[in-house]
Amino acid sequence: MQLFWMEMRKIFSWKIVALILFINILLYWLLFDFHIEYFPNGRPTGDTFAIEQQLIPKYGAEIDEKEYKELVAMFEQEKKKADAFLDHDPKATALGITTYEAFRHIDSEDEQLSEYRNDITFHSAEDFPWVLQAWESLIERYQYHEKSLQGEIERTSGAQQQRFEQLLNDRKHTIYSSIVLDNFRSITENLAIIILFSIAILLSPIFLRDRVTSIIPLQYTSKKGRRIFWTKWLAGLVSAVFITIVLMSIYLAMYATNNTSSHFDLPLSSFSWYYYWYDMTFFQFLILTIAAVFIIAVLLGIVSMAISVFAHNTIALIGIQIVVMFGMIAGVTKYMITDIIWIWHPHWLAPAGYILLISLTVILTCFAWRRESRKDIL
Amino acid sequence: MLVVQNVGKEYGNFKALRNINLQFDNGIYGLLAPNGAGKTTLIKMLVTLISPTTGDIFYQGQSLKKLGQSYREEVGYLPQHFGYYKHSTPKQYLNYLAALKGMDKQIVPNRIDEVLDMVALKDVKNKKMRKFSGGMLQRVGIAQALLSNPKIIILDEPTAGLDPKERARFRHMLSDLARNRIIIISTHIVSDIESIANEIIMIKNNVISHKDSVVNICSTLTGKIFETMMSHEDITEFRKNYITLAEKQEQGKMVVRFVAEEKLEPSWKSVEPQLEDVFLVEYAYEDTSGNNK
Amino acid sequence: MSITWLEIKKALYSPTILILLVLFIIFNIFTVISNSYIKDELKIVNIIIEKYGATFNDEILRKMQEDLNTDVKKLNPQFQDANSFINTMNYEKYHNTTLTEQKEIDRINLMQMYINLGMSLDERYAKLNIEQLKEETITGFGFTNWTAGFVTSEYDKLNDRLTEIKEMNEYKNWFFAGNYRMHNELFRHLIKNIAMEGVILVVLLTTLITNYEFEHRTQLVTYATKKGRLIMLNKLMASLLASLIILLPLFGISLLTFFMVYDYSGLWTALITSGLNWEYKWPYITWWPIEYWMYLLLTITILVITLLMISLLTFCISSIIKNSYLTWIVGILLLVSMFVVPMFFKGIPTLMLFMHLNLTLLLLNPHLYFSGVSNLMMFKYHEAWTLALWGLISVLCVTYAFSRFNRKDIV
Repeated sequence: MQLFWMEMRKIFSWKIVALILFINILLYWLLFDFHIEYFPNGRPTGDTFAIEQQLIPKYGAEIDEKEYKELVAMFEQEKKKADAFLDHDPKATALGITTYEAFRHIDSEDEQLSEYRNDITFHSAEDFPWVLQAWESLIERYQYHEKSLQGEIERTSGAQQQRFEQLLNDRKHTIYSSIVLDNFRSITENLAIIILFSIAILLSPIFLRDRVTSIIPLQYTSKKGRRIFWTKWLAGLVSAVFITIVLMSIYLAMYATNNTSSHFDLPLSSFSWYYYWYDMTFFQFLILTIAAVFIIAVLLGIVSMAISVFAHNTIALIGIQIVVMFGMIAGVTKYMITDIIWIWHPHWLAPAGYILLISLTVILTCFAWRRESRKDIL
Repeated sequence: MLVVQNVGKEYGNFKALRNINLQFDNGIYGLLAPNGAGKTTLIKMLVTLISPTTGDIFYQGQSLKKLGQSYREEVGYLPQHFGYYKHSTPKQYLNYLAALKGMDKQIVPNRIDEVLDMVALKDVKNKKMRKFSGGMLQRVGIAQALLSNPKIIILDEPTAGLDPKERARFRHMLSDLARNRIIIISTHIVSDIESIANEIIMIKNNVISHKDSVVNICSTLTGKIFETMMSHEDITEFRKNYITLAEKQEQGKMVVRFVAEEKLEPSWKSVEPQLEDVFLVEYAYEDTSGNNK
Repeated sequence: MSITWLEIKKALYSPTILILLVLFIIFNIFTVISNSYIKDELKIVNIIIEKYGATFNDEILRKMQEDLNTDVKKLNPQFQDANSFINTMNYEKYHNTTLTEQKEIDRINLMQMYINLGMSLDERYAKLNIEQLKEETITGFGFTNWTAGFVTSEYDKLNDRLTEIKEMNEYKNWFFAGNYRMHNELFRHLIKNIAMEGVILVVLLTTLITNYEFEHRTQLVTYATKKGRLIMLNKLMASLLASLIILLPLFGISLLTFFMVYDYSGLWTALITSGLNWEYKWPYITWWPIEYWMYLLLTITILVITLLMISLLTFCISSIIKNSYLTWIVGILLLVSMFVVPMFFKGIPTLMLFMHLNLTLLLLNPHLYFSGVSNLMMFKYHEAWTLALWGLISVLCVTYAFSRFNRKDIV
């Protein structure tokens, strides 16, 4: 146990901890901050999100005909407010714009009308251009949901087609936008990248360090002997788990400030643009994705330790890690975290990926142990 | 008892050691051979860092492979180039090694003080090792080898970097320890082991060439070691005919110590053979790869 | 020279450096080839240039239209002009024609697109409003006082330049149509990737060379020789030369592949300010008329100089830290910081402006070199100022690193 803690202390040396802290600060600003500070991003996204937060507690995921009519009525109410404004605005009346419909269909070629529209939309305190745009999208999504699913059914085949047919048959009408899911995808992708970098930096030198400082002969000739490998390995594993939990807690706490909890109980099929192989709520998907990030992070930690055993020197270690990290960020993060159950990838892809990665990790670790337990220390 | 039985080590076609048969009991054993002869290879097999290609090594009748950690528990080892953490103090470093050696936590602090005292480093136990001199670092290395009070102490070139006073101290320390331990010292500094070793093991051409007490080894050259005086001009010619072991200037002339089968000149003075004489004679005509010229 | 060459060999014989170089080249080749589905469509530009010349005007466009209309009549006598032919063409009709006819229809389509683009340019250029861009920049970044004055003067110069472009019809050069985004494809994707790969290789090999003695525990021997600590000069030279040697195949093979895939034969003397090279909201408005080959050459030169400076900075970090692993991480972090840190100075416009003279911006934006419509890189001599500033910083850092190395104990 004592050795275990000593190895942990070696892993979390102050230099490495300081570096990881610095890296997290930089990567936070570079990758993460935007999706927290600018959520929802601009208009009408913000308006759409606000409307959704109103509607979800009232209507939930499924909108029936009666509820749809209520929505349309709400939209008409908003339109009437806009009509009232335009009717009383001297500028609007001078230009012959007295209704929202007229405002909406302003000819962009007409300079005067265009200018008026831009002024109201971008430079005035009036919300109606954005709010009504949000409402229109919402209603359009309801109206075209089935048609869009039918279009997908025509374009696809096999399991994908079956899934789309299932979604169509379930008659679940999508009215909610993809804003929350877009944001979540960006958050998880960047969270994964930050955590993967932190783990790679933390654990890459774990075995190489002692080899380079010639401590190995003293370690391997002690009572603990070559089994020190497993002590270091375990310390590395625990370190990977620890740092993943710490970083995830911090970044997910920041994500919580996006207030997307209103959407937690919505099934994934309620969001537009995104289709998934399986039925689950957004919250369940969130848990699944977090679990995916956690598993990938730990697996990378183990792979980094294996690389540390095999690399002859620091330059080789860095070279191999560059290639591994590229694979992790370009491939693994996308296909096994953010797109884990996305319909546009074969549904066996993510599970196969995990099995492959876990197998590779186990094989590499076994090879590393085999090597260390048998090799002559010259 | 530590027994080496028919041990050999090959690296591809190259035979580093062949047919090594040795037995170690309590006492000090000096492993003497020039560089590249296989001393370190043998040492590394004794400490399980490398495996013999042929033969086996036994401790108390059991193979080292089978004994595993129970054997390593009994061993204290100082490698030729031992590693340390620059940012550590001797106390921190020895603490880590104590954990590796499976020592009881209760006794570790006192034991660390004890071994550091033995190597005269107790005053600097909390100083960072990156500030130590070479000799100080070597003494830390010796300290860690003694840390767990092992039954077998194996030291590879332990006196490198130590000044004469430190080396004398080191020899006294080992003599005290050897009473109930096996101590194996690998070195090519003859004077380190000459006065303390119970037995000298010499390796030549990858096999054991001598394994005996210092007295017996030296007696092989009794009556064959001479000293004489000659001028600088004569010495070049002299070297062509005899193996010279040492040459020093005295009163404008050269005093030459050399080997000859018998006394051929009255001016030759017969002297007691030293271990160094045997070493030089044994390896006098070897080229750098250990082959006879 | 022999010592320097021996030092260079340490990097060039490193399997890691060589394998990474090969992997990067393969990746670049793969990227170029996998995006090359449009290459056949692009060939039409070379045909246009060969037949009608590198530049165009209303007369040439009219001639082109006439010729095209003639071709349409030959293909289908029912139609008198290309536009009406294209407008009535649909998927069904297209697939009812022969392969030869389909190729001709495609060619007519493309030709008409280029004619239309050419004809629309005058109007589009007339609508460009530098004043609005200036206001957006000043308001967006919160410039006041002298910074606002400085930015204003730069935008005024840009306005003059735009006027010059319009008056000289500089934008009436044939180039690949903007919707293909070939300028982006080359400079923003391929060359930027090469730059990033160059950073990785340069930092690694510089670290390797600088720290070699300490990593291999030969420092006590090496620095105690007659050459002694002066060998660090050789190491510095070796880092720079090795960087150049490594960058040569990286740039060379990757760009060669690109130009073998895409036919630029008629476009080497095209100006970057070509109106057809209009990919996003604004066309590229370079501060001077720059031909394509010159722009490419200057881009490569700027990037190579930038990478050499990164080698110098890595040398300094390496000689201080003496640990390859930490040097690597610190080096990369430094470059990332250069990119991120300006964000923190939004409240201090002077500093923010100053912070935009950084190497990372140069590495990430080769498609915006010499361009006046590139946010805070828009200043006329932005690239020169950045290189000069960081050249000075690099030299000062190297001087400090040397003097420190000469003073420090070697243990």
